[in-house]
Amino acid sequence: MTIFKTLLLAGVAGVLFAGPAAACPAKIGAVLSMTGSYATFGPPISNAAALAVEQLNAAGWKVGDCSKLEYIVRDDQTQPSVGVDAARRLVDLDAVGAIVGPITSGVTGPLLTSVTVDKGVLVIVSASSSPTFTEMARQGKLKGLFYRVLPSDALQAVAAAKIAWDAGYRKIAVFNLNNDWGNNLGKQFAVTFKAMGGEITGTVTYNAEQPSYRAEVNKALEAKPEAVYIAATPIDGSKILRDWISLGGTQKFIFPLGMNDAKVVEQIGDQYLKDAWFVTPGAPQPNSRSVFYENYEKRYNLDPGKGPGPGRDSGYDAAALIGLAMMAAKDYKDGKAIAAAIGKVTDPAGTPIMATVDDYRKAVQLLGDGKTIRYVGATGPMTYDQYGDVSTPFVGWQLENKIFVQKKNVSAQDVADIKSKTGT
Amino acid sequence: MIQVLADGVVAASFIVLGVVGLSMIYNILNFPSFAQGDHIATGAYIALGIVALAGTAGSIAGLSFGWPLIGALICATILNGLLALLIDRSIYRQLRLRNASRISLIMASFGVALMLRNLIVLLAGHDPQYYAFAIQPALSIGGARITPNDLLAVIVTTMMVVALHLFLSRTTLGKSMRAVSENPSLARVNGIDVDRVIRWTWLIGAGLAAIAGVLLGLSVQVNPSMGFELLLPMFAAMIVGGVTSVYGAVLGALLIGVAEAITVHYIAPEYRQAVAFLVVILVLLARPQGILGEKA
Repeated sequence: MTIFKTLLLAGVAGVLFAGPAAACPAKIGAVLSMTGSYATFGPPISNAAALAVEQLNAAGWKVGDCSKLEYIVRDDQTQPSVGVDAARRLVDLDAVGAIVGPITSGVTGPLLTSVTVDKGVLVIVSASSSPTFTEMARQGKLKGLFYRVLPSDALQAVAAAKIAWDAGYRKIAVFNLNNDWGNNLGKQFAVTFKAMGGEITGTVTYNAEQPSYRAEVNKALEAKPEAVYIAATPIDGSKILRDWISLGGTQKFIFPLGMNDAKVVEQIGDQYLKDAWFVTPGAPQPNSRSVFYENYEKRYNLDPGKGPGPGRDSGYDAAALIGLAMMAAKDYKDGKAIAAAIGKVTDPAGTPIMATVDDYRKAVQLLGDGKTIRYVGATGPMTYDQYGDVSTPFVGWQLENKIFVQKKNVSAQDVADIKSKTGT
Repeated sequence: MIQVLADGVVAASFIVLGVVGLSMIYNILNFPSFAQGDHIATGAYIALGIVALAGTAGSIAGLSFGWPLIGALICATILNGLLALLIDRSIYRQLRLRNASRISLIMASFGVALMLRNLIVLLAGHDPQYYAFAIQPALSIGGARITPNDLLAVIVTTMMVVALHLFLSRTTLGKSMRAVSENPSLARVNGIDVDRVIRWTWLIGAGLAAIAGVLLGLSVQVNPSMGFELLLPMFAAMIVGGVTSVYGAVLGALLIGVAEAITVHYIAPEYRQAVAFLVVILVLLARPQGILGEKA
């Protein structure tokens, strides 16, 4: 009887304290905005990540006895509280060791501070380009458990300042959205441009979704700037630009990533955007972008050219990196071990591995033999610094016959040089 | 300084007609209609549909539109009024007949607001649209940059306010409206047809909203959330002007518009609404009933 009771208690305790199941299949979690205001980005990014996992499985992915990788996505509804909850479920219930992180920095911040860093889970964000995370990493708050695929906004704004300077502009106004993204871009652009010797005539910070931006535009026009850096979202941007042009402002525009959208051109008219520069991160050469696009279109039955859309390849690279790093770490449960192995799969001296099943097969072999590889993703090969920031080159685009044409390149080295020279 | 005033007055002219409707509905039907912003948007979209049917907005002198748009404006005013009437018949009236509380009416108006906005998205999509796509160059008047369309918005709004004043003070219907707003039971005892007054309130309130929508659409753009974005400044204007007074609504709109423009130019653009609301609070501390409101 006593033995029976003890056994029963032990059984109950076993159920209660067994903790989450961490058995095979290995799992890659994802917290993405499948609904909410970033819902246009979430599903294609998630599809891209799922594709990476499928391809790795097809290539014979394995860690120890486990030869099946699984992808689990949870919706953050573009809301921080929901994102935190989603991450908690992935970590506590699904026992994931690594997560493809959120699109918006607003969700990523709380997710890192209140869930993943404490639990020792690796996060590779699919977008979240806020410089805040670089700062947090510098203060040691992220414990090496955070990596990006897209470069931080701070670097993008430096590249934009260089393009503006090289275009011969010396008196520039800054016009940015009043949120983390807009304020960081605006601030970094102004600081860098001033350090280069240029003049910032003023910064106008606007609130989203106002009926009209006439007063803000008039305010920015007062100082008669030669050119203007506008960090806006496409819908607000279309109102601002139409007012700006109507009120006789300069048509020498410089825009960040996001405004390089055919819809923006459609809303304004390309005759006003002849002098505009659109600054975006560029894919370093070589890269797997075109083969990724082909595979994506085939997998999701899309017409050629109807691929996931710009910026969505980051989800693919985040998932592929995690899958490869698990093999390099020979561990799929321990986030710290996986994070520590990122260097083994992005080793500049390693064998280049493109984003194809064939190359992944090679990677399985090489990593199994304890060799290093250099993953050349859809966004190019990743070069990481100690804060998990990826350095990429940037591209300045201009419009020619309503089509964006690559007109200027700013290398990752240029950006680093400007940063160290201007001390920004 | 002239530019700041011009910016403020133009911004005010987009909200004045909406606020007047809001205030009339509040006084006669005794609830704040949160759908008033979306009535502005439906008006703008009805006119957009008519312009699309006509194929062109036309062009007169320096304006970016012509007779087709003026025709569309008149049709939209009437149709938007009828739409509001239909909504009143099918929703608010049912609630009134059941003696629903004020809070039920307010919640119902939230529902109507969501319904209208989503209906617009369903029929016309998310992307901003324009009556006339060409960007209109601004004129320089007395040192202030202002576009001909903005100037027109100020003129049309002023005319409508004067017309409304004459209507409320000179016509029998206008006088009955004021009577109902002051004391519905007494008005009814005196033989005023309250239902008729309510009908005209919706027709005029939503009709004015349509005009506001078209003017804003001409100056900026037509998009599904254009009216919703006006809701906050409209309520602020109504409260600061004095909810019981239609004229107070006009003054309130001017005060909010100019206060926002001053904030953008002299303080910081990001505090535009914060400072405008500070002004509202200060006015209400000094005059709790609003500038032209009467003590309850």
